[in-house]
Amino acid sequence: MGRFRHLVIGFCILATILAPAVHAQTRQPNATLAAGLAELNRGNVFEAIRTFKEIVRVEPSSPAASFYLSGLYTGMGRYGTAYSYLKTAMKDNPAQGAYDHQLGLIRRNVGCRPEALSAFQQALKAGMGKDEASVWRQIGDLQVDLLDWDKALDAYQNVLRLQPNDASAHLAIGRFYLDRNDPQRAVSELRTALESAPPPDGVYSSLGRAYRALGDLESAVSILQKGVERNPADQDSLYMLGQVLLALGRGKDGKRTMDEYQSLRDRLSRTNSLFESAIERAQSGELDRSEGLLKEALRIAPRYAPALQALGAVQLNRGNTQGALEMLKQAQASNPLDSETYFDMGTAYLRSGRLSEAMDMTLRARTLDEEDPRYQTLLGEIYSKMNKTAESRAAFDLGRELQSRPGYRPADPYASEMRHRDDSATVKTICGYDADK
Amino acid sequence: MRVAMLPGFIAAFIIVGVMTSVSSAWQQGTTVVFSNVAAQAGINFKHENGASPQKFMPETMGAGALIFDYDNDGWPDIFLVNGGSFVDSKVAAVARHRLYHNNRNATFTDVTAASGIGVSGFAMGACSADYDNDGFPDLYVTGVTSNKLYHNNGRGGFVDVTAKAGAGGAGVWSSSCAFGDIDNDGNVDLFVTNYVDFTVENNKYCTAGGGVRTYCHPNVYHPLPSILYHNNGDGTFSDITKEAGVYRTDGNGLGVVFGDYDNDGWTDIYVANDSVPNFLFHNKGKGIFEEVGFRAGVAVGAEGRPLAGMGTDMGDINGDGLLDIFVTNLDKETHSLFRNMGKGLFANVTFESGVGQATLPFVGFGAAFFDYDNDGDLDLAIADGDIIDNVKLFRDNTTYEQRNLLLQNDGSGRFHDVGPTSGPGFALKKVSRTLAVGDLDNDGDLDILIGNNGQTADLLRNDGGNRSNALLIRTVGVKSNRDGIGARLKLTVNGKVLLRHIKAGSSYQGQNDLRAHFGLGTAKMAERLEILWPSGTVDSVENVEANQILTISEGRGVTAKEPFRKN
Repeated sequence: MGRFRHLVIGFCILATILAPAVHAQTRQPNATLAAGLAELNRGNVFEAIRTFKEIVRVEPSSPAASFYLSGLYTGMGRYGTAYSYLKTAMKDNPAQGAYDHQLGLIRRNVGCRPEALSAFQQALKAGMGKDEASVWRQIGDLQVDLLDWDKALDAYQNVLRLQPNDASAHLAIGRFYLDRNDPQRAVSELRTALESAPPPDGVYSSLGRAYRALGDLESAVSILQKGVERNPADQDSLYMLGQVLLALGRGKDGKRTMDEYQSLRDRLSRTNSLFESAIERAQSGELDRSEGLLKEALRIAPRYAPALQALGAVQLNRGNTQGALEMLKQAQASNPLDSETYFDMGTAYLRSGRLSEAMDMTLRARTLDEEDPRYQTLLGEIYSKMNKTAESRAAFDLGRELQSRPGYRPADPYASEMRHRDDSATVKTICGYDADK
Repeated sequence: MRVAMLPGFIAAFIIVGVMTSVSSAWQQGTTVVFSNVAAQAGINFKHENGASPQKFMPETMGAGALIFDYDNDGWPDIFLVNGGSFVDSKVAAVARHRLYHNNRNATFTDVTAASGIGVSGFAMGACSADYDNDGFPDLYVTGVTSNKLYHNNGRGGFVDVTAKAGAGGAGVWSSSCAFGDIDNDGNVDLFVTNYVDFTVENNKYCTAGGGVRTYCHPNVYHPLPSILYHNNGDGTFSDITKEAGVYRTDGNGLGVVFGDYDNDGWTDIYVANDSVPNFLFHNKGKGIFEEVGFRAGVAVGAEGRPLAGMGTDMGDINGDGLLDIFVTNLDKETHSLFRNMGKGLFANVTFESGVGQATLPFVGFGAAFFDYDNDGDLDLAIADGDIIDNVKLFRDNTTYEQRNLLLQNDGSGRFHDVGPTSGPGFALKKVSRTLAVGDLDNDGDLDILIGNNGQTADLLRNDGGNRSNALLIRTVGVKSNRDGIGARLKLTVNGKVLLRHIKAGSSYQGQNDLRAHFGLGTAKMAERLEILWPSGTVDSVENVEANQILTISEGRGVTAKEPFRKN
């Protein structure tokens, strides 16, 4: 759930930041585009995708809609798709800072860092206006990835030059000083980061660490306790708090805190291990065992979307259509951007004879992922049940065509999060590598 | 741009100037220099990793090495562990371990054939101790499917006694091993780390960076419980993992070291786990343990997250009489240095100590605390090399082959990377795994043996360390185990007390020279040497002259002395 919330917030921010620039560059907006943006700002990401795709369907070269789709698919971890929309957006007007920025984000996510850096630098050159700080922040993060801390520090300082109250830059600089064994300066930066609302993730534990390094254990305890009060699942603060309490000689409190930390960790690792075992069992056909393990995982983490989706799929394959639908609805609420969940729901509704709902869900799956032949095949079956022969045949034909495309690999129905890894050729294209090199 | 450019001749002058100052520092004897002398010493072993397109995980994990004096002639010998192949039986059939006898003249002779140590069977690491107290060190070799215990017959031969001794492991992938006397009964016990439940049959298909097949992360397999064997004193061992309280199903165990971190007289055990929290098994007495890693502050990184623990060592980095702990991890995680604060607590001083900054870009495996420059404090040597052989295909800021690290301790527990100015030995870039230290030429300074995955082993000779004075102490237990493993040695030099402990197994899949080495700096004599044996016996020697190798027998004091062989 947390990941999805971040995604929505990220998209809304992205839309707000970049919309004027992109509109100016692309001579659009029209009413539909504005409607898509409105959906995005309301947090209806799926509806926004549908709207933008509709624009692209009518006008395939639409730069603004393609650009937004690129951003959305980047957030969903579908970098190949994101890149392909970005290419469309860039076709007529490549020299735009916002596009280079987006290219940098995609490249960074697929792991080609120097190429990402070059895209961000190009974005600065092309001009990012008031969004320059966000590019410098990305450059700073990239330089950390590239292990060049001095350049990272320069980049974060550029962020602060443009936006003196940028909390994430203060946090990054604070951590930099902490790692350089300069806790005094670290404390100063981290305190500034803490003053922003809301404070960035990780600031409490870092400030606690800095106070501890300064030898000010009481301040460390105080700040770490605040971190834990604010977010009881903040493992880093909890661990550091336990350590500092033990170092202060408060053995009983320290031991209790460390026990809490360990219990939190155990719960997380138990959930992961149950989920992984369940997927393995499902993949080897032991569906009853898999169902038991998934239920156990959900008892510990009731809103864990991948487990909800997997349990729905397992129950569906065990013939428990009603149970599957209940799980899949919860999975959809936790993550409304998982095409596999919609596909499973479409299958479940089809089996229940609820054809219009089956159609709606399957179309949603197809909206999110137009390349999956199973979605077309399911649509073909639904049309067939509706006696729409021509539509049914067309869907089956398209399904077969998609299946015969080079590089097609059948999806694993139980591990949908793993399905969307881009192949090496796509990654090379994104990164701008010469394929023959 | 014009401002940034230097005229070519000025740039050349600066570069030449730097080179000259470094090389003249070596020549003038202000710096300790390490040179790889493996080939000239006759160490021609090349590790066979069996690298295959199937990316079987053990292929990238091994290259064990140990330094031990198997014939008790006072000159440390070398054992190098080989891998094999999962797909090519011909390659597997010729992948043999190597035993090298020290010729006492800076060369070694391959005596494998006469030793009786056979084909590898895809092995990983090794450790050595005299488990039956007959005066000759025996050998334990870990592997992917089976482990072997070789008994030293005292005539240069080793006999496979695994079945008879009952110490063959669990038929799973073992990594490191170490001997220690957990109940102080005079017989060394054995700890074997087990890693994950990989088998050739359940090999997983893992990818990175857009479909490139790579070696898998351990988390795609299940962790395995490590094993603690109790030495029954009659040539056999019993698996007491559960009874002793060290049975854990959640550790991807790779490295292990014994050491008494709380000075209570009972040796404890630290296990480096890959990507899950490390274990510190506190010995509550008589070999009954409790896992206290989290509470002690040595289970995870500075921010409470588990790191990819590989190798480990214990040593007193700041002269406070307490054993500190070092663990190697992945790049971008930093390796971890935990300073012992007493009362069973450790502080993570990775960044404060300078270790964080120095190790951040490296994937570390073997590691050893050792005093390479004989200045009295423990420095650090670290073997590095990525895990993914084709990492270059999808990560641009690292390489499979990496340089090893030499971190110099300034005496207060702060470390600086001096590898780049410490000779050609530390300029090598290889896929290093095991690192073991010992005075192979008995000249008073510590040399380094490195096992490299799929590559030739390196023997880094220390030139210049012995410009400062030193002492080497060989311990011979009588009531305690024969090697004195677990003994704590305190040497008082100029009023400062240096602590060493005898350990048989540490680093990653390897073991150092058992003899305790003390650098004395400019001191020509140590005021006092005190040995606390595992039995509780305390021996002390006053006014110990520098630059010699002393043999001290439990309860009898100095029984042999030999000067260093300085050229």
